Amino acid sequence: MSRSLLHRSGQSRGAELLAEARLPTRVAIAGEMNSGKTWLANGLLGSQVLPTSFVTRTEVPTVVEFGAKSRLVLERSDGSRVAASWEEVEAGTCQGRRLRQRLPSPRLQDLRLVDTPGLGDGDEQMAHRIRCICRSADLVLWCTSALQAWKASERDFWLSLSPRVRDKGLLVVTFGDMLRHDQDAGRVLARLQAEAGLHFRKIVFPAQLFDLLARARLQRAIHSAREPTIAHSPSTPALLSA
Amino acid sequence: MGFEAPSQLHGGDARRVQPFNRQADAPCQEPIGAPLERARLRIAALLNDLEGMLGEHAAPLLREARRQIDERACRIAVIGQIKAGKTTFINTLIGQPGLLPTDINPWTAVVSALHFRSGVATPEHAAVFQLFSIDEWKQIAKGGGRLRELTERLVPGFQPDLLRAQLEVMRSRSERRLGAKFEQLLGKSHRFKTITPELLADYISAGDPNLQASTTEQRRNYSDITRSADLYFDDSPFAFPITLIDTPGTNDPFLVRDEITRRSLENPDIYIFVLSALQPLSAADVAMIRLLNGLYKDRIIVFINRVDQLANPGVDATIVRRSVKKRLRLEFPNLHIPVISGSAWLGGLEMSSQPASGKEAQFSALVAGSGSPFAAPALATGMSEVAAAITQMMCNSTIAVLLQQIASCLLELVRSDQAGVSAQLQQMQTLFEAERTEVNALQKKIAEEEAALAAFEARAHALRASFEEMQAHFDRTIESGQNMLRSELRSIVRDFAQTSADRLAAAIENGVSTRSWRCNVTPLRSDLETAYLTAFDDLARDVVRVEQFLYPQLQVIVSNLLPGYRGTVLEAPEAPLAGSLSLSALTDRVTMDLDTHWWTHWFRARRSAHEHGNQLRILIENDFLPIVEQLVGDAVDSLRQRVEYTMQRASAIASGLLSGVEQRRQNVAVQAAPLRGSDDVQSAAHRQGEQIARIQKCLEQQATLTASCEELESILAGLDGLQSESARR
Repeated sequence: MSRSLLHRSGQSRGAELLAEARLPTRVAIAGEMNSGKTWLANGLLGSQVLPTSFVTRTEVPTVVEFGAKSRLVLERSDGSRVAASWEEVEAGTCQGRRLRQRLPSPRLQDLRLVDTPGLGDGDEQMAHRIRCICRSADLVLWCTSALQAWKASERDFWLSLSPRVRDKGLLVVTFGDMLRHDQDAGRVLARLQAEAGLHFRKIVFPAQLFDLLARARLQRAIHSAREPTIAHSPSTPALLSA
Repeated sequence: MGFEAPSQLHGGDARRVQPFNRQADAPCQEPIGAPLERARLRIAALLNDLEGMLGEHAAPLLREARRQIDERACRIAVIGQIKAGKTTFINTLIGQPGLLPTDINPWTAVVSALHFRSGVATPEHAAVFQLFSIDEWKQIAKGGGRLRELTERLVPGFQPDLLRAQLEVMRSRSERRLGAKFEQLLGKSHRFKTITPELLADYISAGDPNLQASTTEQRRNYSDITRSADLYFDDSPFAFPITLIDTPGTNDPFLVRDEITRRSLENPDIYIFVLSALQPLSAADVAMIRLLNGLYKDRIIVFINRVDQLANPGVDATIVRRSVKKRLRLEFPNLHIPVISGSAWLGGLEMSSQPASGKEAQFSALVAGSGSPFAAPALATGMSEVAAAITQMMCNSTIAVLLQQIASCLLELVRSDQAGVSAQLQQMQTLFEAERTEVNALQKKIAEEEAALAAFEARAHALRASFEEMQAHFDRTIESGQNMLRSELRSIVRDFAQTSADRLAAAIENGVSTRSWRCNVTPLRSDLETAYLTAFDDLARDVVRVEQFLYPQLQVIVSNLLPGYRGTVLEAPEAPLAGSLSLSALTDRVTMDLDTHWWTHWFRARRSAHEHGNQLRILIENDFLPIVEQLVGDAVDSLRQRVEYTMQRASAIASGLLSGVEQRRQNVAVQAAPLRGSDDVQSAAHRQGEQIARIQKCLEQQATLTASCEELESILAGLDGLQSESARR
């Protein structure tokens, strides 16, 4: 999967394309607290890499990227880096700019995830940082809980991003499995479509997203002989059609 | 469409239910408000007795007391963000799961008041829905109300697309649902004799936004044009009269609804703040509690709802509760807010008789504590703890204070009548004795008595005159205090506006980015609140000082009039002044509350740093000076109420004394009859009989008054006990 996944495909110069083609797709995951961001990140990674604890919320942005060896590094505010463990993180002793988790997972060869702290606790500085992360991502996954979907505070944050950034956004409806009635999912989706549909590329449930990614990978494998940009593979129109 | 995520991500079935510890279920408890209801009923019974017994002078006060006792309900507002489960909570609290319509989408669109036995008589209609007036609708449909006004102030001429789009949706939806002539419905109120789920769905549910075209079979949805709903219930699950207020959630992306909710937060006795356990206490929640803070200190109960949706309810609920408590302590160090966790939905299942299916069955089994796959004990729904917390809070609320005021006011009336009656008795005794001895002595006695009465009356009138003087004193004190309060608050606003303007100008000149800039007015709000409360306390103290200066002088007069009088009316009453003060003006939404989005437009529009600063100063002043005006007005109202109450009491006592004088004068006239020489044996006997009857009546009266006095004292002691008991906990 290349950076040209969502747009720009036609405009980039060849050299740039080549340079970019080697970079994994940068996916930012954002949303309010307890909206299932880390859970979604683990889903995309296919394993329980990041601890999803209900109590200790993700405090600093966590970058998950490919590395030959599995290791966790904390980048302090002064730029220095130290090795860290998830136990320390969960204990809340890790203060810094970001956490960097390297993993030898094959899935990460074309994917670089940034899991961000939950919004909604009034921390303007953090909100500003998350805006920056969204700006530099290729794909922004905004998590909203099916049980309390799309509040004014979510909308306000999302609309504070520029249209260029919003154009890279998918609204991911998490916790759909906790709905009490089968017809509820469709109804939530209908409301989201009406109230938030305009501001996102598409609204999806996590399973659809996992599905699309898996299919995209498959497609890429199949079409790897030909010029293989996912943007043109048969699976992506579903992902991209707004 | 599949919404189940890959199962390994669940951590097994972790987010479903696991066995958890039994939380101590409260023992079988009294219905909500029972202790206060007992006091209320005792006062009501006493009022019946007193109405026949006390003279004409007491009638207005008794009427007022009767009205308050009959009509004043405890107002409990249930608030919180959208989808926190407010409506489900209410349904469970009133023991009628499924009564108010709930849905997976934000569903409550209208502020509805549920009245439980709160009126004198059950009104003829069980449900009354008030639709927006044409003017209100026009304001909403064209301007979008307050929000529109604010954005217009910030960026003149700028059309907030979102709001415009939402209003258009609302308008066209109303037309689709109600027909093109829906505007003819505006201003009407719709009344119904019975409450049905369909009715509630029609008026207070948001309705399905995607439901197309209303055919004749489909019911019409009025929610968009309904302003308020009042529902009256015959059967009450509560002991005390209670009005529950269900609100649409805050933080609703549908701006119009958010506005409606904010407006409904006017002065309830208790707020129940419902949070979702999944998103406990976000910044929006804290902001909301901050708005309610101040005088509503003892009025907030936090209920962490939906613990059934936690991965591990038993353990996680405790953790969430602890973290919410910690956060509240951090944000509001001086506030004691009861925090209770539970699940209103489970509480509803527990009482629902309908057979459950699917997940509901699973939970039902859990609640019942049997048949669960884990053989788990029952999960505490938190509802009984909420009930206990409400009762406890009621005992300390303005309601309790009101009952106390009524009781002590009645006590004063009874005592002054008691004093009057014993003076009468004494007088009749003296005259009687004098008559038995000789005519001369009687003549002398009557002359003395008449002179005494004349002096007495003159003093009583002087007493009344001094009331007028007192009133004038109060007026002057309030007037000057009001001006000081106003100028102090205004200078706080001006200083803040100037400082913010300077800071902004400096920041722009130093090239600081304005991208995510916001003017935080929280410090201004809290400065205003502190200054307001302090200044109000000073002002109240001034009023009390006037009372303390004048009362002793009155005391002298009254003790001359009635040596046996042992009332306390002539000591300054200690009704807590601040209790009735409203801080709601501070919660008004202002331009500064708009999010970064609007401010970006604002920055785009102007150039120079100085100009920006100046504009900001004007914005802050325009927003906050009216709020200052409102606060000052509220303070004056509250003080005037207090003064009025004090004066009403004092003048009822004075009238009581004067009517006592009238009684004694009549007695003297009767006794003086033999002196006029028109007395024969027969009429003398008749007169004596009459006198004896009078004395007997006086004695009876005295006995009843004494009994009432004791009853009132015991009621007051009880109320005191309730308060100190709940304060101790």
